[in-house]
Amino acid sequence: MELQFWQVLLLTVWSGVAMLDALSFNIGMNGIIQTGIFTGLVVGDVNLGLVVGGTLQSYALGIGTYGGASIPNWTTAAMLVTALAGGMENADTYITLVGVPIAALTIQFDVMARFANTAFQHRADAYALKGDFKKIELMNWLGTIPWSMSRALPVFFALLIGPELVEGLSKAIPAQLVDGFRIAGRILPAVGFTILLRYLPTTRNVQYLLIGFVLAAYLSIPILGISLVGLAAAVMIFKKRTEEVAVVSGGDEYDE
Amino acid sequence: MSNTFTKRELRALNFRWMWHSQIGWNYERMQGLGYLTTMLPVMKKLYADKPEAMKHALYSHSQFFNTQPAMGDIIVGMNIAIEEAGGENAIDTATAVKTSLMGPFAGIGDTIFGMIGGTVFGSIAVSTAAEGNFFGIGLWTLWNLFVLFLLRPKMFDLGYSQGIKLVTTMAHQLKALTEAASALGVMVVGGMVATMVNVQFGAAKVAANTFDFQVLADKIMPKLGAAALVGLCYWLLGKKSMNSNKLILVVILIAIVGAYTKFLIFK
Repeated sequence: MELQFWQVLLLTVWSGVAMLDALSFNIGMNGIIQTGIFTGLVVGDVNLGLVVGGTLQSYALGIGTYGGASIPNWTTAAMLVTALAGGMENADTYITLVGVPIAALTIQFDVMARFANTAFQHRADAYALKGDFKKIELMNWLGTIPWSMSRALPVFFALLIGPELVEGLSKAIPAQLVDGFRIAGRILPAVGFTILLRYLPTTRNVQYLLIGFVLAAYLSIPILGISLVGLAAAVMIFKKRTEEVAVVSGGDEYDE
Repeated sequence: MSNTFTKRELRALNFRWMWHSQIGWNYERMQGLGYLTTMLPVMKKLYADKPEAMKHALYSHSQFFNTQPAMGDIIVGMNIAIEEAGGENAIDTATAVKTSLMGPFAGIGDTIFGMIGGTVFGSIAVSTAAEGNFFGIGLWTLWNLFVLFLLRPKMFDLGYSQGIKLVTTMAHQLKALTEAASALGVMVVGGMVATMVNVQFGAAKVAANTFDFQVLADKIMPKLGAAALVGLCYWLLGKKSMNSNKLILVVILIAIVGAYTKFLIFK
C-alpha cells in the first residue's frame, strides 16, 4: 500500500533503534515476529504482520549471528513485506517470493556496519595511547551510527519506492516459478533445523530427536507440550550429570 | 575482597557492559572496544594515580574480545573482582581470564541463549503466530525480559562474588547444563521438523494408473517427506563446500524443480 511519510519515518526509526536493542539489551524489538507486528500496527494490518513475521521466523529458527557472522536479514524482510504488500490481494504469497530476496540482498549492509566500525576502533586506539577516556567512550558510541543506519537506510529507501518494489520484485520472477516459491516457503524451515542439528550434539541425542518427532508427527502434540517433555528430560539429565560428578571427582576436575 | 566498588557502582558497570559490549563491534577487535569502554570507570578508580599501571590496563583491555554477551556478564564481573583485589599485578590475570574463557563461554552461551532459547521460544511463537495468536511471542518476550532483568544481573554478581573460583566450581555444572539444554533443544527440533516442514507430494500417471505419492508416503509414516528433506539437508551441510546460505538456494531449487515436475505440490 502507499505509505504516508510519517509511517515511513516511524518504521525507519524503529528499525535503527531495534538493531541497537538487538546488540545490547535484547528485549526483542529486532525480532522477526515483533517487527512484523509493529509494522502491521503502523500500516493498520496487525494480522498480516503476525503471519509475515511468523512465516519468516520459521525460516530463521536456529540461524544466529554467532561469532559475528552475517545472516539473511529476515527482520528487514518482515518489515518491508508487511508494509508494502499490506492491502494487496493474496498478500501472503509475497512472503517467500519477496521476503527471501530482500533478506538475502540486505546481508551486505550488516557486513558494511561491522567493517565501518573498524575506523572508530583505530581512533579509539589513538585515544587509548593518550589516555583520553571520554574520547574512547565516544568512539564506541559512534558505532551506533553504522549499526542503526545499516538497518534504517535500506528500509527508508525501500519504503520510499513503495509497493512498486514488491510488484517489481515479484514480476521479475517468472510465473512458472511462483508455485516453486510457494512450495519453498513451506519447506525452507528445514534449513534452520538442519543448522541447529549440525550445531547441537545431535548424534549423542538422537533419541530425543526421535521422541520429539514422534510426539508431533504421530500424536500431534503442540510444540509447547513437546517443550515441556524436553524440559523434563533436561532436568533428569542435569540431575544425573551433577550427581555423577559429585561422586566421581568431587567436582574440581577440568575436562575439555 | 576489598570493597572499592559500591553495590550501585557494580550495577552500573554491569549496565555499561550490556549497552557498550557490541555497539562498537568491528571485525578487527570485535567486542574489544566494548570491553575497554566498560572497564573505563574501573581503571579510573584503581589506577588514577599510577600512570604505568594505567597504560598497561588501557593496552590489555583493548585487545580482541568476543563472547556471547550474557556470558560476558560473568567474565566482566570476575575481572572487576580480580583487578579490585589484585590491583595492577592482576591486570595480566584478568587478561588471561577473559582470553581463555571467551571461547568456551561463547559456546555455552550460544547454545543456551541463542540455540535453545531461540528455538524453543521461537518455535512456540512461530506455531502460535501461524494461527494469528500472540501467545507465543508474548512468552518469548517474557523470556527476554527475564534474561535481561534477572538472569544477567545474577550472572554478573556470580562472576564478581566468586571471581576466579568460579571457573573450577562451575565448570562441571555448566557442562551438565549445556548437555541438558541440548537434549531439550534437539527434542523441540524433532517436533518442529514434523510440524513446520510441510512437504506435500504430488501424483503421477503411469499408463492408466495414478500413483499418489503422498498416500504412499503416509502409509510408511506421517511426515515422511519432512524427515527425508531434513535428513538430506543434514547430509549436505556436512559437506565441506556447503554452507547455510548455499543450502537455502538448494532447498529453493528443490522446490522449483519439484513444482515443475509436479512431484511436489502446494497444498
